[in-house]
Amino acid sequence: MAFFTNFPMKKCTWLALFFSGVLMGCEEEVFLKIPQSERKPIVYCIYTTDSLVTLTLMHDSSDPYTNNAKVKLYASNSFAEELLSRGEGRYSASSTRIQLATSYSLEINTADYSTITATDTSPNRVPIISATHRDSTGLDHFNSTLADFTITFKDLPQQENYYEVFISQTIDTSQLILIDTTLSDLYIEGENLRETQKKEMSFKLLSLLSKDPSIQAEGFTDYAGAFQDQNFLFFNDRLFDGETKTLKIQYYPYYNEQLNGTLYYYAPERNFEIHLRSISKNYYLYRKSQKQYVDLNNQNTIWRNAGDYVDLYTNMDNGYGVFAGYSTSIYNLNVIQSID
Amino acid sequence: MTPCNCRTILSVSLIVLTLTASSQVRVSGWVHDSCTGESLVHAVIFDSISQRSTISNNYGFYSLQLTKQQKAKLFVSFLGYQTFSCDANLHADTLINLHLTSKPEAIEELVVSAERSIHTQVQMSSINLSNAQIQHLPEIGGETDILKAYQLMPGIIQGGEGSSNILVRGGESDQNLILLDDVPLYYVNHLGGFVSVFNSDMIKDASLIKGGFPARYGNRLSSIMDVRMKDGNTQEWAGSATLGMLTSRLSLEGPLKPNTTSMILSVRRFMWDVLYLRPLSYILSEGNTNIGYYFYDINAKIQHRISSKNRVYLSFYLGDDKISTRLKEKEAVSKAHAKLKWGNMLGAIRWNHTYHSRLFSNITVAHTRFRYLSENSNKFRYEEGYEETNSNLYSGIRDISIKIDYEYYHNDRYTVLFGADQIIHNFKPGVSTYSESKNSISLIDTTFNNQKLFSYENNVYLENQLNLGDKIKLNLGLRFNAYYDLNHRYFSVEPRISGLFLLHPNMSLKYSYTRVQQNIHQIDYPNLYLPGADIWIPTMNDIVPEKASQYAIGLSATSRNDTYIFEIEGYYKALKDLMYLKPGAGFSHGIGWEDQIAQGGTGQSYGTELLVQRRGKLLEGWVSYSYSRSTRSFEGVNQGKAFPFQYDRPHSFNVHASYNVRKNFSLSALWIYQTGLPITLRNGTLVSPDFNYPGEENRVNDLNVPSEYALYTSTNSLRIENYHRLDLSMQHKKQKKRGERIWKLSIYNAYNRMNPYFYFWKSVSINGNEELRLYKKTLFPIMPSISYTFNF
Repeated sequence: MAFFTNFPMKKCTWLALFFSGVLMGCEEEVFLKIPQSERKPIVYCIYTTDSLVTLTLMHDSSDPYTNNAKVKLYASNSFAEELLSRGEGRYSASSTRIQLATSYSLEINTADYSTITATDTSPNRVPIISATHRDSTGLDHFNSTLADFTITFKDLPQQENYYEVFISQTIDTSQLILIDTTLSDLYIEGENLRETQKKEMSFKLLSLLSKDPSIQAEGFTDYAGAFQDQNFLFFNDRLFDGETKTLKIQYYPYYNEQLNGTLYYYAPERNFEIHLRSISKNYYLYRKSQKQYVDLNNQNTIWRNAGDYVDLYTNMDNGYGVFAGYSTSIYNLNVIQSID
Repeated sequence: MTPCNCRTILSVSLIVLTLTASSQVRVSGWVHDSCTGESLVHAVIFDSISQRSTISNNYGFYSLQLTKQQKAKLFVSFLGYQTFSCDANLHADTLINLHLTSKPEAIEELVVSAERSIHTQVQMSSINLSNAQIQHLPEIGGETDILKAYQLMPGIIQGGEGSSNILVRGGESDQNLILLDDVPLYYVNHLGGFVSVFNSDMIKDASLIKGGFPARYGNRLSSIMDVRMKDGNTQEWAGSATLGMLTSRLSLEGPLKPNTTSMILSVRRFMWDVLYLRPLSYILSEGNTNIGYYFYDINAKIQHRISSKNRVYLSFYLGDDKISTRLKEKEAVSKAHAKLKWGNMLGAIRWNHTYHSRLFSNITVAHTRFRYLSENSNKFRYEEGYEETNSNLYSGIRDISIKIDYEYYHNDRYTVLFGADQIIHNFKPGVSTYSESKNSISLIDTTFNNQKLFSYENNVYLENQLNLGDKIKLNLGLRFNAYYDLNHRYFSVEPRISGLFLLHPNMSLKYSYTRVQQNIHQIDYPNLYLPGADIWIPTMNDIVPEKASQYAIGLSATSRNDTYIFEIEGYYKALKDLMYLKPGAGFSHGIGWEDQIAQGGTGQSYGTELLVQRRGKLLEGWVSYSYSRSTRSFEGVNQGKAFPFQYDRPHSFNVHASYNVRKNFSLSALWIYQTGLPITLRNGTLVSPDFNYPGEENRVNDLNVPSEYALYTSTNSLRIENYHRLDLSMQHKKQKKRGERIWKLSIYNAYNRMNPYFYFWKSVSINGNEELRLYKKTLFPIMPSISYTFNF
């Protein structure tokens, strides 16, 4: 809800409304006999075009890997190949490369469980027409600088399309200008900038934010994004079916800009890779349930009813997990900025 | 219903219409309160000579057929009033307006009581609560609440502790048709359900029907709640002021023209924002934040008696809940304002016309609207100026309707009710606007999902109330519903059958069959635990009307001295084409709901209900028990297997007693016991491997998702602790110089039972290891409250 996008309103409101109740209310441990869950194998397989299918197969949490399964891959309902075991529950194809807009199926036979099956179709690629970047596009409530990207692409008409976006940044460490000398350590991806031997460093941009209705309509709060690493945004084309879509995404350029009035370091040249993934419906539903699961579990404990739950989406028959594909378009953006 | 069934009912109607009795005369008129002029609904008019009786209708009008030239001795009774009697010589149709005087607390019960007729009324599964009964119940936070009073009746349960939501015979809350002066209200809660929208100062009469719906009612699957507002005092100006711990109320009523035109106005407001919330948030945030919440209700009504045959009523209701937050950084770098508002507005004009002593009509033209509004604006200042964003959401439903109802009192064996209505529904499931400007120059200004969905609903009904001999009564009805928009049409023929067989002068067997269809539906925003954040949607595309059939049978009896009333009923209800949000559904701004709703769900409810009531000058009260089960089945949920309904409570037991110690002093107690609600809990763990994309094997945490996920028990297969509590109250009245003052002291949950409001998982350290343990949270321990009312 837009209402909650900038404030912890939900918590504030409820806390205020039930102020007296909370003060007087109390908590107490309860003992309830809960039957254990049914055992089913877990299969994870996310594939992309032009790659070989690789999957992980597990029993369950207590017995994680299995290597004696027969895993068959079908392309357009025809047998393609049997995947080879690579150990630790990993299986991979040796010759079948994923093609665009093709239906793939998995059939897994194990000694312990019923046959597991799943089907998905790899979506068509959607190219990015243009992308621009702006530094200093505003401050958020905490006085942190925001920068943004504007990405334009053309949606494929008359079909349901689902997308995921992430952006990675590469900087040349030899050109870094360290401004704040008071800080002894500055880390990127676990590397201390003052000591690193790496010439180039790449990392995904964290905390992507967007007010775009297509992203807002997913029902997630970008308030959460400000405090958690939300480096992937996903959405569907319901509001722009077949149209040219312009998407604005903000982010916190912590490594480059002012934070609380202090400029830590400065990279005069930055290379951004904007990844636009066309994702299958199964991929989208899996990611969505995953995000809902995370959001639910991030709620304040005292207000989270143990009875509220999100089942992780699965398209596996007789199993858990996901078998889903995507296709990626990448747009490279080079930003050169001189220090004022 | 087959065409053959339809023909049978219509034939019965026509045959009975031909039975005319020329030796009969008719007494008709209105039943009023002698002091206030208020019309009295459902008063019993009884002729002790002919042993014939009737009941005043929803407007206080009655019509009773008697034998010509015979003397009549009429007794008129109404709960809380002294029984009125008068003699009449009947030579022709006569108009007699009856005026009853309210009963002082200590006056002995008289011969005829309103309850005497319960076992003779063909309507079953119906509960009438008078304002007096409601006022005797213990309060929560100094607030008497009609919906909470109904929750104490068999077959009706509350959504959660403290909630005003009612769930009837395993139905959902949107399956209750809640009428205020004949007009539907779409949202009936304030304060997250803690308080209902019904201001007790304004309620004249309320009834709730759980099954055996008469044909004049329809469009909802589970219950009909008919609330009537007071008409206003036609004799003198009066009022009351109440200070409670939750709300304050002020009511004023009086004659604009004595005995002709009256008005009543009542205002109620939640005061905590002024007293606590705003000051507290301001202090805690050091002046940066201002958070407020309040709700209010405004009820108003004007009654005008044009002539003895014509009356006009104007009814109005406006109520909102509002949350607002203002955030302003001290350095004025950013400002933000957010507002959330939801509520109803209702307006109706009704015209009663009495053509003659046999034919009464009412025409209602009404407008009702529920809307949910969210406004959010942010302003950021930075070096180059400032940037401003605004985003708003509107979701709502607006109905315009016209309805005409006729009541034809043919003779003492046959009354026919018939009528028709048309409703124009205007849905806005979610209109979202977004604008962005920089230094006052507009960059973006867009509106999304500006979807107005119109649909139309027509109903025609015929209801035949038949007395076949002295022992059999029938209400045979038929309702025809047509629902359509530009692209879809749905028709429904709904037979309604209720019957009564008198087993004994004080005992009867009742039975009923009802079929009903619901064309509009409410869905909640997923993953938002916010009251009011629900949207109403029409039947369209893949969403077909929901349907229910219900069978009920029961015994009804009264004791010889009318002190005890006994009712037992069994029912079975089948629900079809139920709607639900698909697993994993998530949307916002009302966008995308169409694709996230699945239908084809079924449900079953069955149970037994017992109600024993005691009436008396000193001790009053009731005992109610219900055993009920309710399940749901949806493809894709719980592997398609039936699971307990979210609010399935097999056992529910309530005891209420009110004791008048003195004329002006009474004590009241209420004990409630209910089976705990069903719950789904985690019972296993799903491990996620290092979830990488091809070629990115080293990026273990790129998705920032957990490496473990919970698995859950089958849906609603466990139960939380059973619920019970005791409430006590004490009421003291005193006549003062300028009016009457009432102090009411209540204690909610007197023995401080730690009932769980919800369960939650908590990580605790056991021998150095972190373990998840299940805890309960109690929100409503012992809670005393006090209220002060002054009636002037």
